[in-house]
Amino acid sequence: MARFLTMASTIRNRATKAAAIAFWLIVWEVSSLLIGEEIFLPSPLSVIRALSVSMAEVSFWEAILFTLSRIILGFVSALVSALLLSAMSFRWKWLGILLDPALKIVRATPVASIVILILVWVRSRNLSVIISFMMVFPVVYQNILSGLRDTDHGILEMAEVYKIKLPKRIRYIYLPHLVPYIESAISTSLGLAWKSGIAAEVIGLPDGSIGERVYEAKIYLSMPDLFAMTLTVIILAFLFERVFLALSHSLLRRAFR
Amino acid sequence: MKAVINNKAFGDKTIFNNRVFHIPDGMTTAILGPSGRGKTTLLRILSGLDKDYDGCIEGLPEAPAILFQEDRLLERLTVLSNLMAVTNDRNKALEALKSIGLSGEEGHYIHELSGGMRRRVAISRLLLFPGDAVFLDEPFRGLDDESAAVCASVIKQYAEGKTLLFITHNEHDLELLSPDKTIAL
Repeated sequence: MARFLTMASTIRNRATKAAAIAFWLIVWEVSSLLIGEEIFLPSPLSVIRALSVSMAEVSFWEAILFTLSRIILGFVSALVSALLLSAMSFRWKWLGILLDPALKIVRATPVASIVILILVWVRSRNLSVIISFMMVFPVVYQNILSGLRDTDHGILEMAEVYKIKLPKRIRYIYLPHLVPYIESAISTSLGLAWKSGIAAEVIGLPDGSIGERVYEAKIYLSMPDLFAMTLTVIILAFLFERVFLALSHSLLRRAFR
Repeated sequence: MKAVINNKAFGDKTIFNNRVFHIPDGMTTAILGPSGRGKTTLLRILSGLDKDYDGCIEGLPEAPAILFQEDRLLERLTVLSNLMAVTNDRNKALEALKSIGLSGEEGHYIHELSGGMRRRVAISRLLLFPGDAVFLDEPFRGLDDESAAVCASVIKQYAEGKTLLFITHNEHDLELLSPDKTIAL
């Protein structure tokens, strides 16, 4: 009975979500019909058509691979280094104080300014790696550092009394405690990695990237293509988030069982 | 062990003023008293956890095994992982669980356990630590009579030859651990 009720509730939730999506698609279609100019607002159908044309091209998949690999690289390296540096800042307070102003500046500076500055130093091909790294790092670092600071003092005192050594404290106390902080950081920063990475590509225009295709669509006023590429990025970001969260969830839970 | 506490206060509230406590070495001592009399504070001072007082202690243990009033278990981990945090010997951990009737529960997560089972996990963790003195804060809190009797017997065996100090507000606990000395607060 309980199982049936849970299933019914899941189906109801999914139906509600599908209805919300359908509502916005109708709003989009109606708005497009009212405006009547594809150049201002293409209809959902013409976007789907543009997307299916793109999907038939090898260069479309190459662009996805190009951008995806760089954003993943920037994201993962930000995640790993934020994990290490937040642990070090927790251990050595002076390091946290030293990093704080730099991180505040990075968080407050517009992405476009950082992109233009970085373009002076590195080739545009690797721009999205650095930009997604720079956008993700402060978020993950801050989240994990807060998590470390919130560690239960009673548990730490217990570890002291039972003379639990640092490697075991990390494995049994800190990392399991940090799981929700890490997951929340991943969830928050994945969207940032995509947004900033694509913005960097639109400004830096590396050959064969999604950003370059978005820029070309804008230059040629091909709105269906622009929307199709944007839709591609949204789908990729969504899938990437799902896969990455599921992977990290299963890895973290299994490691600390 | 001898503790001279000239003053211990939390803000304006004085807990101990010019008190001397003698804890006989290698014997069992109970500290009995109602809530709010400073039993836990005294245990923390005597075990060396609380150093924020005016006074001194002679014969402070180097590695006290402490059973805290709160279980202080690692909530997101299994019973076995909680024990493996303090020992490298899996068989010893399983043996400790068996001794207090938790055999077969090692794979459960702490948040899945009842209050009494959690208490017993905390006690089995204590059993795995080779402390030179044993300090117990309300050791049988949340346990039914049968489980409390099993735990008391196992604790007595573990603490044999060591200084055992426990605090309680429950006279029934005195029967279970049969102290050589009782200090009333």
